[in-house]
Amino acid sequence: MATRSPIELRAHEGGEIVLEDGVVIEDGTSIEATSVVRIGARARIGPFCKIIDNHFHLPVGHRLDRPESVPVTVGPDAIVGPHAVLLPGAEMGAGSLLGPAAVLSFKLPAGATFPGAIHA
Amino acid sequence: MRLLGVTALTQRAAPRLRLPEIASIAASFARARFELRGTRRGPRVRCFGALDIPQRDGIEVGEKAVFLGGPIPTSLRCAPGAEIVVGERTVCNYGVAVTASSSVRIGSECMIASFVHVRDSDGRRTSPVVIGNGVWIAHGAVIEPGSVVGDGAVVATMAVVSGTVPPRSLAAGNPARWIPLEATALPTGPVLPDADAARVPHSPEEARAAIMEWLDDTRLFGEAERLITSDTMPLRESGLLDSLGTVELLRMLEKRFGVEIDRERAMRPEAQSLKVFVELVTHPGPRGP
Repeated sequence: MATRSPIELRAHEGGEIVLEDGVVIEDGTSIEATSVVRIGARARIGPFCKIIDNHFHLPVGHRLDRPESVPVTVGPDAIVGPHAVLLPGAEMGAGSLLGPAAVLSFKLPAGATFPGAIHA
Repeated sequence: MRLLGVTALTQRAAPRLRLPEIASIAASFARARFELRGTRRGPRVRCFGALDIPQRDGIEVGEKAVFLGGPIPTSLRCAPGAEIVVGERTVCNYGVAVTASSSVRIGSECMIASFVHVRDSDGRRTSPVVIGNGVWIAHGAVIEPGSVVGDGAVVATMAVVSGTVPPRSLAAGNPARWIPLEATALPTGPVLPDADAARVPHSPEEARAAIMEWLDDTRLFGEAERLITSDTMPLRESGLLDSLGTVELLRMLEKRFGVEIDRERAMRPEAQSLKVFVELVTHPGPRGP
């Protein structure tokens, strides 16, 4: 659904991006995989999201060394809000909802709602 | 490869370069000359994508700096009389926006991720921004006017920094809070053998009271007893505690109870309920009760 900004799907060497049936990805979203990023059937990814399964740099130690990849899974019928970020290890259960501009790095149970950025 | 001016950075990231990559690196020098025309540019600057520079005076890019390409161009917007300085060997991913009304200075060997915004004016106040050397700013972070980010600091994804971040610290959240970078390292170090086996130095009630007090004071504004409905309620999934908050809580517990909590165990996804935090104090070793 790229209308204004392109979508970036980038599978690095040995990485795999799996988009199941009926997935909707809105414009400006970027998905990078070094192991596996799996988007379940009918899941909806909002505009300008970022989904990565590797941090690409180490906070302590040599910055150009890569940490281990942790696969990211978005369950079927899940909804990812605009500008949200899924970090390595993020897992969204079936039908769960992640609010706008939220950052997820753990498992969100099926059907759960996680609020987005703080309301002003 | 040395003849083409490939830096140590590229050699480490991709030790065996194929022909198209070498061609792309060679082209990036020419592209940097074009995209950064009219700016003060050091030697061997590379540019892999479009740059949006409406006004070129006052922009300075250090030796061997890199601008990566992607779906969205990086923009450097510098008002007349203002300055934007990008240090040597600093790498900018795509979609970065730097806006200067007076001065934005980014140090050397920084890593600026995609969609990072740095600005020294919010429309009301204008205050220079200084980013030190070796700073890593992750995807989507915003650096607000008057911010000073110390050498070697890490700014986490989507953080909003407004103020000072000390050297070698990790800043996260909105508004960003920070902790020393060393406090986040995994694991913390060798745990003494049998440290967790026999002795239980602290009572669970004491630990629970300390955790509730801390949550009341720092996160939940005196509402902890009401908001936390059970000791097994997941605090992170319910949005009451974030990952940085977890590290801050662990550090408080370590300091208060004089224990060394096994960091790997403490950062597992299931380690987020009051019950588990109490167990981490009573049995701080790697195995748990």
